[in-house]
Amino acid sequence: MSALLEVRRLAKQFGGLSAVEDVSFAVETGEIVGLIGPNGAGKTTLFEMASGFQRPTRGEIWFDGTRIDRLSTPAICARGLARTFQIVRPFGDMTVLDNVIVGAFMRAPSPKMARAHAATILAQVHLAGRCDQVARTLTLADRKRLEMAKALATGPKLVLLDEVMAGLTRVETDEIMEIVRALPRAGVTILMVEHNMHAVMGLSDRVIVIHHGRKIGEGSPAQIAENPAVVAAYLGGRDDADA
Amino acid sequence: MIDVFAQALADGVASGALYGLIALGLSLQFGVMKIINFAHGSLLMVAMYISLWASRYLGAHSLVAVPLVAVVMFVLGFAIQRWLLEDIYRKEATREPMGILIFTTGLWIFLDNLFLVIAGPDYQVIKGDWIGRTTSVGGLMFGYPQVAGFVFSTLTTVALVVFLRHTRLGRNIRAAGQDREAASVLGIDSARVYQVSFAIGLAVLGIAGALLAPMYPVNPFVGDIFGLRAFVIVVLGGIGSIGGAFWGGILVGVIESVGAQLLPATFSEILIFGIFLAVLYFRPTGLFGLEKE
Amino acid sequence: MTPLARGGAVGAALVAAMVVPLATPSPYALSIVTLTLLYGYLALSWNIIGGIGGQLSLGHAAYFGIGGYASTLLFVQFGVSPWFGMFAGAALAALAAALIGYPCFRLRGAYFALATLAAAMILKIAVENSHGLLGGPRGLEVTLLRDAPLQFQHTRKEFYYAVVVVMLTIALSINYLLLRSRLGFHLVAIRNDQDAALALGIDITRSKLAAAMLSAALTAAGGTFYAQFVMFISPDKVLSANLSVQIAVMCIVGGRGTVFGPLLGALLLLPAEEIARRALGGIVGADMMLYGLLLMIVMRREPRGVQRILRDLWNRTGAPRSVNAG
Ligand SMILES: Nc1ncnc2c1ncn2[C@@H]1O[C@H](COP(=O)(O)OP(=O)(O)OP(=O)(O)O)[C@@H](O)[C@H]1O
Ligand SMILES: [Mg+2]
Repeated sequence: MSALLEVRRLAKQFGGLSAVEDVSFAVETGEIVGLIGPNGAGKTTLFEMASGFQRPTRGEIWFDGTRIDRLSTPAICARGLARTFQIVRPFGDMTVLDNVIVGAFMRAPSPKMARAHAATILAQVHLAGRCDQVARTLTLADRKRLEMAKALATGPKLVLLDEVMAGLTRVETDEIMEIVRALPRAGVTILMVEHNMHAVMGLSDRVIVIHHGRKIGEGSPAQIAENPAVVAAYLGGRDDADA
Repeated sequence: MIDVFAQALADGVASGALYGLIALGLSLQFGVMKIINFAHGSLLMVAMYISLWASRYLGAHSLVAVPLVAVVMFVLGFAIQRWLLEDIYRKEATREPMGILIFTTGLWIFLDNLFLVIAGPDYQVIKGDWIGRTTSVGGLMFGYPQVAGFVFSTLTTVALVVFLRHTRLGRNIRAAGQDREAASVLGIDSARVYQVSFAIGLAVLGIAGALLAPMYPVNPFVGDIFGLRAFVIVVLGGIGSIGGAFWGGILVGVIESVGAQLLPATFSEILIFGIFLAVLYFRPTGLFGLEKE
Repeated sequence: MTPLARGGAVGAALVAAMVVPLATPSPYALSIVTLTLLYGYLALSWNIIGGIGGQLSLGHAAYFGIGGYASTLLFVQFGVSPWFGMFAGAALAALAAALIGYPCFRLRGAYFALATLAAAMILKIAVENSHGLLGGPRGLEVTLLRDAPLQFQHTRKEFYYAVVVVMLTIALSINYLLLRSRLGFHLVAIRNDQDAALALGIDITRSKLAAAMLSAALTAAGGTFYAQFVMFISPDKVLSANLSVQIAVMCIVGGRGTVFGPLLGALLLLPAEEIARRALGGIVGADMMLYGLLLMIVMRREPRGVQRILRDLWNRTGAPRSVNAG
């Protein structure tokens, strides 16, 4: 069986700047894969291409047996690939529950079922107690949870998580880690960008490292931690200090 | 027959430069703040009235009134941005500023009808002996106000481009337009830059109004059609682009003037709108714009 | 109160409110009430695209005019009952909305507002310059048949009042149901954040298009009603930019995106306009000046409209806050 997500020789240029260059990798069903790299490495750009927000300059993206790099964002979402935004984007006027219902309408045939599905998802991310709160007023940790809940509500096979733990406390991070860890069992494969090493190393089955748009390493968390190129480029060259 | 078309073409270019100038302020404001000021046409009308009153009550020659109107409009622009738009803008600067759209729609309706109340519905014209005079260039006839309009519009456009490229303030304005956060990192006070940009936009509009006033009878709703045309020009030229506004203005001027020779007046209006929709659909970055959104 | 009980109470109050005007002795007063409710209906129609969908339309007079002209023309020229003409007008207006909206809906912000504004202006100019069929600037008269309810006319004002109440009820129901439907959720999401909506699989253009067409169709039906009520239409009455603005202002001042806000806006503004007109002794332009001013004040003070102010007052003074406190 072929991989759930397969990226082949992908490249993206912004004018003269090469944000992603000749990157290839695959994600298998049921995995949690970490995608790491210093600031500006091209991680978010990769997600933007996989979710149809940006067209690749070169290369191909295959998801669940179809080529998706020319499809529109809604079409990609309908096939079961959802994403979160690094800078969270709640629908500020709406309640938490309504935010999630929007996503749930992707698969739910009726408002009633969308509501029920949304409630289940909110319980899954420990946000059930905030159902009626207007999204604009949430704390950062809850916004991150809501961001995940919206993506999960679309019923995806694969979710791209873009730094859902950035800026959170240790306790909050651990909570989100628990939520993520449980997802493959619920049939959701994970590709996550994360600067928090504790989280990436603790959660990932496999880690992919990119630097200046190029893939410089791939392997188990233990292998990555010992890979000299990665240590030099990534851990050595970090210009932010959060961990 | 050829002469008629040559004349129409030349007229189109002459009024087009002025149309471009009307659109310039709008484009600048969009380029820097990403807002569309729906009161733009009404503010043009206000500028025309100021020019009219300056000539009627102060006896100012309508070309002398140009800098005067520009100064008044600059102050007005500063005040509008500072005391009316700023807080609304700040509240929703991250996404589409719908509040500004609605607010300036309110300002547009308010100004039009305020002038209807204080100045009455009648068309009024500026008097002056130079206004009726004409000159001929290469067999084509031009009115003095038309020549003045073309020359000063072009000069103002060039001056604005030079200002934005080669002065410190101009560069700050462009920096703030490109990237708000980066600008604030560079120590640029973006609120002040917005006030100044808005004010400059209106000063340019004031110049346009003062140049237009001798050619075009003024009434409280005169701005609506010019305002709408300015929006079309900005879209044709590529929203936010100064040079684009100039060429977009010329294009609309020529379509209108040459179109008038071939079609009933209504149709050139429809033609311009049709082009507007087609450009929105096929080239939303404008006809001349090279950079992408 | 449970939502159901509250809904029932509001419904009962509305029904009562709608019966009362029938007791008024003067046909003039009933005409004013009818027109006010028509504006409420129009504001609710506008609300679908402008409020719920968050796309500022400044050209709804075009749809109103299309509705009025379509049914009147069909009636005068071909003897088609305006009841059917109403649907023809609605279909035509929906088509026009699609043509205007489609190029803009992929884009952001002001383009749609500009396109609607321009389209309405062009339509007005075009109709004014059409001498034959559309009657040019002088407009069209609806052939007078007196008491012919099947031809959508009657000498008694109560007839029109009853019709407008039904139309208003339909518009309220559509808004209510829309807000609870898939399309409604999609529209509110788009209004909040277009990219985030896209990421959740929403087809932005299709949702906006559906809202614009529904809104236009309802507005056109209002145009047919107006033509039958006044028995006469002309470009400066049914296609004016002022009308477009008035419709939008009522919705925005009342509270865009809500079910009762738009109606509230009409109920507040139309009488206010009438009073201002009398107080100011008919200064031309004073009424529209008021509209502009109100729009500015609302956007600075409470962009969610009077509806929100009343709700906050209710919550502050009313019984202990039980629901959604948090
Ligand atoms: N739309 C764009 N236009 C131009 N340049 C862009 C654009 N998006 C990203 N870039 C550039 O591409 C490069 C990669 O950016 P990207 O956001 O993918 O990095 P990242 O790995 O997600 O970084 P971070 O860890 O800070 O989130 C950066 O140099 C960035 O400035
Ligand atoms: Mg990133």
